[in-house]
Amino acid sequence: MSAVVPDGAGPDDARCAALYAALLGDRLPTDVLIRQWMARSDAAALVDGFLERLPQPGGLESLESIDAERHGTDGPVRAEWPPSQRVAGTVRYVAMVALALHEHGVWRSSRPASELAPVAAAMLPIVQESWRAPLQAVLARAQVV
Amino acid sequence: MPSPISDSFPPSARSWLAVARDGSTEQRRELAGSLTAIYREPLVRYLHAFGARLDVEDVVQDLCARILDPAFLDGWHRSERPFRLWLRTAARFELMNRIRAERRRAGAADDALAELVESDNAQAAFDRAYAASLIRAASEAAQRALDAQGRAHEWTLFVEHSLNGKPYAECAPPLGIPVDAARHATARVRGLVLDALRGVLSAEQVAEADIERELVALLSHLQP
Repeated sequence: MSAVVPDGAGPDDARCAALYAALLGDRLPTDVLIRQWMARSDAAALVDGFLERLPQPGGLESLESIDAERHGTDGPVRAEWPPSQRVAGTVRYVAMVALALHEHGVWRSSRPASELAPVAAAMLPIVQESWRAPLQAVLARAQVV
Repeated sequence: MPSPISDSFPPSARSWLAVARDGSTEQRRELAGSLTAIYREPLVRYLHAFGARLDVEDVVQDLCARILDPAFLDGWHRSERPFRLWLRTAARFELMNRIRAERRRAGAADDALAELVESDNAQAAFDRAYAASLIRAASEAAQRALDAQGRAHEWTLFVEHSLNGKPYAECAPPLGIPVDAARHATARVRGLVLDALRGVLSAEQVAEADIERELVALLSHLQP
């Protein structure tokens, strides 16, 4: 029998968290799901993959082109989607809200700042440098609302 | 007829008491081993957080040695508290007693009680380790059950699909599992792990209807 959950500190906890998430399946609340995914060892690569096909910070994109609803995986994220799709959609959505706020000073979201801030906070430590200021703008916005 | 899991994992608080009172030596040894596997590490982390200059592993070892003492389990049952909280209290009192004994030997004043207030750090250390050891024990129980049924490859499928995110079309055929049957196989594995968790969670006073919420709570303890 192979040991699926290895001994050790951080990686062990992340693996155990992944097992709980697998048991909960599609019923995991989105903020818990996001934090669990962001703790994975391949999280930075995953998030890079989600973000690289979006308009980029400093790219002088128009406000229309960074519409969050449109970029949240071909539309708003749905609770019944499988976990991977919900993570990808939510990350893209928050990234686009962050970009709109950072580049145009406009909050474009049908969801409250309090809902997006935990996702932005989870993304912050693992995104590339260019995305940090936009995500911090979301956190700052959540603090003043 | 018992489920495959209940042969290798503590199924309920009532059965713990039955084994403690009337079980064979082998049954008692297995149950004590299962409970120790879940609770030992959380208790060690918990006691470490008090910062006492004592061998906390030794304190926990002594506690685990009497984990199936019928009087100890009866006391827990009467308390109507979750087993982990009962154990935590017992561990803290044991640590306190040892500190007092140490101080008496050294001729110092007995202010151990004041020093052993349970901090948030101690609780968090316990909760984190408990969440990890519980899911680890349940996973191992599920793997044992699958191994015994000659279905170990279903665990691999579960890991590849549900943990590593691979689509069934990619991970099922190399394991000899038809793609059409893969969803049922992973559902079966999830059921086995949940069955294993239910035994401990029910002893911890978690109602069947609240298991999902409890799993979310356990997961939250493991977040960075």
